[in-house]
Amino acid sequence: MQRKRSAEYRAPIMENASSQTFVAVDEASLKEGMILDRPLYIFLERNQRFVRLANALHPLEERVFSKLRKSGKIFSTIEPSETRYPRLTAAAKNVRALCEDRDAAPFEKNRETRAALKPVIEIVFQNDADGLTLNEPVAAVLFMHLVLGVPAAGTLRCLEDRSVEAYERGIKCAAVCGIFALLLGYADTGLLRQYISAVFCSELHALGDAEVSLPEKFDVRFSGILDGAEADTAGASNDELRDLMAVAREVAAGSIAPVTRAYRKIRRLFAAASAAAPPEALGSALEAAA
Amino acid sequence: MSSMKAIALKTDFGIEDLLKAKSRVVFENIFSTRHIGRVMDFFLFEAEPFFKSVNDTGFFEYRFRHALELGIFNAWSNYRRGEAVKCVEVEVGWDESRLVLAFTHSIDADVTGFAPGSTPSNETAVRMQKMLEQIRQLCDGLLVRYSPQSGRVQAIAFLSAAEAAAKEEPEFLEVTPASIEKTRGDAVSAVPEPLSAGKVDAFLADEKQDAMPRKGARGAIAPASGEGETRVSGVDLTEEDWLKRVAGEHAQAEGATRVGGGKDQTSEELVRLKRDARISSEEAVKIKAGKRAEEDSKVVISGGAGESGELLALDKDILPKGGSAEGTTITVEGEGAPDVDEAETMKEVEENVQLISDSIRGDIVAAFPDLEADKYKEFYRKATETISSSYINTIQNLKQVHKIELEAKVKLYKERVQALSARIDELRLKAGEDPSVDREADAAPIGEIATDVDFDSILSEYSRALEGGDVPDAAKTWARNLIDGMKKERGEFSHRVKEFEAHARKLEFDFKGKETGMKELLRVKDELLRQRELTLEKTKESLGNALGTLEKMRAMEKISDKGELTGKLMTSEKMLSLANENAERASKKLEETHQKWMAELNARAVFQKEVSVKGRLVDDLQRRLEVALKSKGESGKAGGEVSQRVIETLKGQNRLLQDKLAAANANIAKANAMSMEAKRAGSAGGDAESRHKLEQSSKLIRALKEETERFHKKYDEARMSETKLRVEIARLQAQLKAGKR
Repeated sequence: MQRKRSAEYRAPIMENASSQTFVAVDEASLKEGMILDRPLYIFLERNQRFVRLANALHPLEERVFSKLRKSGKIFSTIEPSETRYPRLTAAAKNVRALCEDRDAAPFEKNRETRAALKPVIEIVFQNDADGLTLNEPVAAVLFMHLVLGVPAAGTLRCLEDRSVEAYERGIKCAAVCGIFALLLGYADTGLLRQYISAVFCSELHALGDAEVSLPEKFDVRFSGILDGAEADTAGASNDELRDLMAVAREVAAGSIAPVTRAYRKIRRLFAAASAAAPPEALGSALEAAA
Repeated sequence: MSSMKAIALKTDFGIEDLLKAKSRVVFENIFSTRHIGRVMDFFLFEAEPFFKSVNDTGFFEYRFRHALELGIFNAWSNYRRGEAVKCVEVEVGWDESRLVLAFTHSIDADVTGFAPGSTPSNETAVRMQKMLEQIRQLCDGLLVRYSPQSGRVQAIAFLSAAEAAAKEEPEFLEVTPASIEKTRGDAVSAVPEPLSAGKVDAFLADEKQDAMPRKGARGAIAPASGEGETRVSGVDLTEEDWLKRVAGEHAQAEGATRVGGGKDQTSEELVRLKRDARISSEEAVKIKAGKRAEEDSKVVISGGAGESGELLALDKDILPKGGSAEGTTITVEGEGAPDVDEAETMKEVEENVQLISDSIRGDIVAAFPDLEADKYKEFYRKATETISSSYINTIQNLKQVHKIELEAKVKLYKERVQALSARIDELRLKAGEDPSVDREADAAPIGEIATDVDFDSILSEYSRALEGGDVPDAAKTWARNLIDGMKKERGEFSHRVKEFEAHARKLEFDFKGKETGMKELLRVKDELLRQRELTLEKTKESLGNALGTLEKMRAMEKISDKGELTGKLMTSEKMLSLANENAERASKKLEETHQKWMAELNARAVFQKEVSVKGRLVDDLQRRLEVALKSKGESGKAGGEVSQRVIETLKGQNRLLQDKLAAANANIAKANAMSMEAKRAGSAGGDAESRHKLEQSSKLIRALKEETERFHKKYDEARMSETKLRVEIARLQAQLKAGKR
């Protein structure tokens, strides 16, 4: 398949060093294929300019990675996610361990998972009377990538080649879907990987290119998500995970989600989570207000 | 259910809309069958308020658990092929009147006809149908929703809180996105929440508490039935728990248990308990149950602190039979360590008994669907008691036998060890050792053995004497050689003794290892044998008891209702014979009538045929006549008029006949309808009604017969007229021919 790269993404963008603050990036923290949590720049000494080579939420390609390594001076405008979201990494580790735990009963596992998801929810979403809003899509994507390692780099590149817009929409939606599914007790890594990949690739299918061969393997259950993602009305699919996708799509897009059964369940869980918010969260909120 | 069906068709795969306003719905996604037991327990724990509102909680719980288990396994075993992950979505909801279970999973597209009563398409569908049928039998209603588009199936089972709820027929719904109207749910309908949002901590604490007697050896108490032996093994409980367990229902029944403790204790009501679970011989526990326990009896508690002679003074009611004599001290040998196995075994026994009784309960329900509730409960209670007592007795006997066998084997091994020790002693004797030397000393190094002799010091003394004394050189040399030889021999001897000891120890060790291995092997084999025997006995006992109880029940039923049943039977038989006779008569009459009708119908058909032939002939004649009249002209005018009149007369007669025939046909159709009605009503209706209808039918038939005869006569007349007409026409034709010429 011929690669069609969108111009606004691939062309290096010149940045003025005086207008922004740049922080150095450790080369050892970068790996080929990883989803970047922040944009990456190199510094051109002759021009005294920073050139952006990679965007956040995109996989680090081999070509870009070699350029970065060759340059030796890698920068970013944003702090690393560990610094920005210190609790996110720990939460991801916990959730992953819980999902892979086969000894605990499902309800024990789900309870622990929900508790571990609290900091993630606080960071990622804003839950108010108007509904759910996605505050930090990068955190959501990073979290799901840390937990499950999906979507795989191959899948990401595949969609990225087709449309950057669809790519970003899809990856946000997939991450939100993953968090929702975890909240609703679908705490099985196998199912979640398939589900998130299917949601992500539904954007690819929506582009209408039937010749695209998906790098991920899908089970039959999620073929419906790929086939009729656009056609189905929300709530009429008789599959909670599909309803969840409809809700997540709206939340990720910043619009009002349809009040389906899945949405009601999610809202109830969010309400419970905020009602039982830990004191430290309250403290941090007060500090922020001060 | 029809309203439920309508709701279920219009909503997505949820159950909250099938419940009333004040309801609760919890759900769980199951990815493995590993923890199903705990999940079921937790569902039960969460639905406790509903279970409390049910009359027969035990039976309801049995139905709930069985249905839940069946539903989950149905979904799991019939899940869509090729899926890397199986996810069974289970929902449990309840309001004040009913409890609803729902199991959702995906199936293959070729699996159809799985609903009860349908024709299954393949093996999976057959399996699903069977399991759904079983769920239906357990529950008061079953609704199966299937979405062909997504391949998702939801089995919804209803359990009504009302005891006498009628079972409803299973219903199958094909849900399509087009049929779904309601996806939001009402404002009043419950929002489903995950099972994990429930009281997990309380459940886990409860679970832990339940598991305590199983894990800890102490605190396990056999049922104080009064008939069996009352045993109190250890007291690893709080004061309150312990007292509750010891006193149990007896104290409650008496209502006069006075337990003194702490500051409240009196000289008469003395209770000494320790939380650390150790009751020594000095720590006597006295529980007086009102007036009945005038004098304390003493029971020795086995296990516990591992001491024999631990005394417990208990209410006489709690004491076993034969051990309740006043002042009698029953001494049970202290076993040292707490009897963990025994506690677990007894717990298992109780569970097994419960399982057997539950399974019998299901069979009883299936076997005697019309059994009254009181009799059923009594029967079930008796069956459970019988099974429980016989089962526990058998197991205790087996345990005794097993213990005796084990003791005999240990004795045998001890004898063998002694024999081998004797042989070792003999070998030592042969080696020149004193077998009376303490074994511990034997095991010590050779230098230590000879401390009392101290050869080294003697030899060094000799050496010094040789050096210092006035001894000839030859003697010195001889003596020195002698001492060296002695030393050498002593060293060699020590070495050999060491070797021998090492060999002996090795032999002993090997033997002990073999002994231990054999003991272990024997233990395992004994255990296996015991388990098999237990299983066999359990099965036999349960079957025998169940059969015995069934027989007793039947006999009881027969005796109690014999007279009434005999009367009813005779009356029924009479009524049956009368009904049979009536039915036979009616059927004979019907057959006759039917034959007559058939004959009449045949005759009518023949008659109709002839009429139609005749009509055709008349038409033909008319046509010919018109032709003849035209050709004849004026000459044949007079004859033609005559013929015309005759033809018109014949036509009129023919019309009349046709009208009558139509009327006859209508009558016959009416009679047919009446006879069909009579046939239908004949089986269900009364005899008098059938007779009346038969008479009516016979009358009608007679009337029809007479009318048919009249038609026949008229038909004959018409034929005669036709013949005359033909003759007339022939004559006219002849005249016409003659005129032409």
